[in-house]
Amino acid sequence: MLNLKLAFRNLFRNGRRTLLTCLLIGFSLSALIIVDGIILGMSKLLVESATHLMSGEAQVHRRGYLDSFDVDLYIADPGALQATLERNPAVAGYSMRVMSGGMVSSPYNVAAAMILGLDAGQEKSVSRISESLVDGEYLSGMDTELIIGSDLADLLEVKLGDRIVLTLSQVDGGGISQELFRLSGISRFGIRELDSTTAFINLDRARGMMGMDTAVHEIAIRYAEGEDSANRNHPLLAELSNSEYEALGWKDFNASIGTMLETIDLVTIVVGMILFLLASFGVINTMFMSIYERIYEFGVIKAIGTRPTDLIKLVLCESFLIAVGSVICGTLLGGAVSYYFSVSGVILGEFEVSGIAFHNNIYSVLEPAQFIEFPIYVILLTVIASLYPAAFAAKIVPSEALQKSL
Amino acid sequence: MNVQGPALAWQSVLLVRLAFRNILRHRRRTLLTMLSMTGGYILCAAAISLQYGSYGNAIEFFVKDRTGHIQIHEGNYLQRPRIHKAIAEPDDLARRLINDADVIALTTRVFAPSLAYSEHKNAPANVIGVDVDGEAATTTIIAKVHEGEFLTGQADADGYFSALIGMGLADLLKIGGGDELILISVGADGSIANDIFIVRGLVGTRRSADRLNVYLPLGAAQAFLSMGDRVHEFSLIIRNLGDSVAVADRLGGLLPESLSVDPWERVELTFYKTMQADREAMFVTLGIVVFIVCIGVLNTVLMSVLERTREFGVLKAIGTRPGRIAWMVLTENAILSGLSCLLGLFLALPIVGFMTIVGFELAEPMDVGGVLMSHVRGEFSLRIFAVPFALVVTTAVLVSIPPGIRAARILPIQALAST
Repeated sequence: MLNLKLAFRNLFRNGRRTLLTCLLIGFSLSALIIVDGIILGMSKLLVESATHLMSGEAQVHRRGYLDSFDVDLYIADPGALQATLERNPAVAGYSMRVMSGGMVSSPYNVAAAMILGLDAGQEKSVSRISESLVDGEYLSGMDTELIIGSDLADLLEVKLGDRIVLTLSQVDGGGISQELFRLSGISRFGIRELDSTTAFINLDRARGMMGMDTAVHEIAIRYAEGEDSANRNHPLLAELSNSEYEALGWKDFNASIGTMLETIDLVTIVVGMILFLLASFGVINTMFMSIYERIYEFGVIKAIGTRPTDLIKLVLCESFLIAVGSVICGTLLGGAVSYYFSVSGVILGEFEVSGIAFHNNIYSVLEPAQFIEFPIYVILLTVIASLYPAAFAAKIVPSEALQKSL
Repeated sequence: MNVQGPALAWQSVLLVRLAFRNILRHRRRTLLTMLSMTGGYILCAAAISLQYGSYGNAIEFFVKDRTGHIQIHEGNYLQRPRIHKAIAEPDDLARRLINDADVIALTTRVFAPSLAYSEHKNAPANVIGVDVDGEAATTTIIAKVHEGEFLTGQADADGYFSALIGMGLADLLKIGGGDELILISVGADGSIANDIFIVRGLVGTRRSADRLNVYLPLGAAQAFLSMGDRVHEFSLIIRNLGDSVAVADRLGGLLPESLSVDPWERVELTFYKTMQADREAMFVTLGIVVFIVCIGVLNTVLMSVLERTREFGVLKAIGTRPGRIAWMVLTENAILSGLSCLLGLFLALPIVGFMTIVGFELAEPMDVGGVLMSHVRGEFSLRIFAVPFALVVTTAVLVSIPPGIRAARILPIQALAST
């Protein structure tokens, strides 16, 4: 207790220095909290774009389908898989899809596209197509309904109600079928692939065109609990997989975003560590300066019988108090800025990664870890950094120290 | 009194010597301050190197792979491609361009989406008609052919032209070299285009951007699409990639109004914007790092000034001008930060060297604004080391201005009275 009291007094003997040290540590912590918030916000956007917009959090395909998107690699009898999905409480929803590469022709232009046949009802529990419409209506099951991405609509120079011919591959035999649709909706996801090269039609119509009866190419799954989606080895995936079918979590079928998130995490940790390494040099420096200034004083204390360990305790107490003070200021400042960014967003300019366009604000994500774990690390690091100056103070020899003039 | 040249020089030397001694008076402090600046320098150099290196490599790759340095299209073909938006009389244009001092090489292309068929399978494909010689001279296409051979402009004995297909398409259609490939598309006149080609080779990999491409000799593609001698795209290689915007603007002024001339920055606009945004974000991050380093520096300088209050008082009492005292503090810090950066340079050289030569392979290629990046590499050049140098030294000197002024304002009588 005495140590704490003494330490407290010592800090105010050179208020400016203490303040600057606090600023140094505090700003480092603020920077970390703010940057972490922005990066979490970006990651969240990436994950949501990768899962909730279209793909779902897990998918089942015939083995090999994802390598080639070969229309012949379909799930012939999805009934058993469907029963498993209905039974499993971890599943919030699933959607069956058929897909084929094909051509989309308007009276003005023609483009290659991926054509997806969807079940309008099921899809609502997995993806956000209905919410992504910028014009027109969502699928209702009518035969001629067609939704295309906004960039594709631009390219084809079409508006709602225009006639569009879809040409797509039939399964088993390599024939093609061509049918007329009316543009009933235009979607915009902010994902290049979905906006510029994708067309959506009703599942039954697509099956009819492709010569499929009950078969599907893909079953997209949404978990009830968000955390399940990060689990690459979820028991459900094993239950759905067999020698013919393969169920994968989104990090596996969308490996590029998975890898990128991991890279971002790694870079954040490395930069954070370097930041604090630099900050701890500052802490060591300050503690040394304050000890140098007080060498005479330490000499006296030792001369009257204070033990070296008590001196170490004193110096560590000082640094602990500095750390606590800085952490409080840093957390408040970082929290305030981060909160502001979480409400009104931060503009990072226009950019696009993994086909996902970021042109709007990114909203910071505040997490308990930023306000509990980060400050604890900072306090620990500050105290550890001052071990070296503390050891120096403990080794002061009174006879030498007392000879030194101010 | 007029200070003579040699006297001035001597004063400067004296200033530097004094500053040096002051730095060495507190070695541990000096070392620790230097360490944080050195750390900041290394971090900045490494980050800038990775930034410029990775994007530089990506740019170099796609410029050679497909875009070239500058492209010319008819009207807004780049934004809204339509088969009839084609450049008429391409030979005249080619002659004009190749005589331009900046243009080294050029090639012409036509594009059309189409359906590709093999005996049992079909798949959507991007047909690209390329000038056989021009394409080989301006892009790395020959290096990408890994099964079979590059295109020839001549038809074979049976009158079939050759085609190169992407690996993805070869997989889907289950065909390889020597097999027949049937293409169906819509011609420029609105007619149905279809023809048979013989696969001569496979290009790229299963994951590369060209996996669903079909390359045809230009003449054969023009005939297939009923385009006459018109082309959709000119792709130019110029003398200096860095001048792409200026050269494109100049050429745009020379060529007919209906043609649009775009440097790669506009051809790959999304990528370019992403790169700019990423670069800005990096400089903001580095700014924060340098700022934090500088709070530490400010602390040190302030301490060293406070410590020497008496000393500065004596200096002033014997007639040293305030300006010279401020200068001395600045000089000390300039030397300190300069030395830190030199140390940083020494340590950063092997790090940046490693990143440039070896780099980091990404587990999965990353799609950045439509450009696949599979490797993160550093850049090794003057700016990588000079920019952080300037950044660290400038900020370190800037933060020592307030303590310098403080030192200059010390009143001898008070300073000497203080202990």
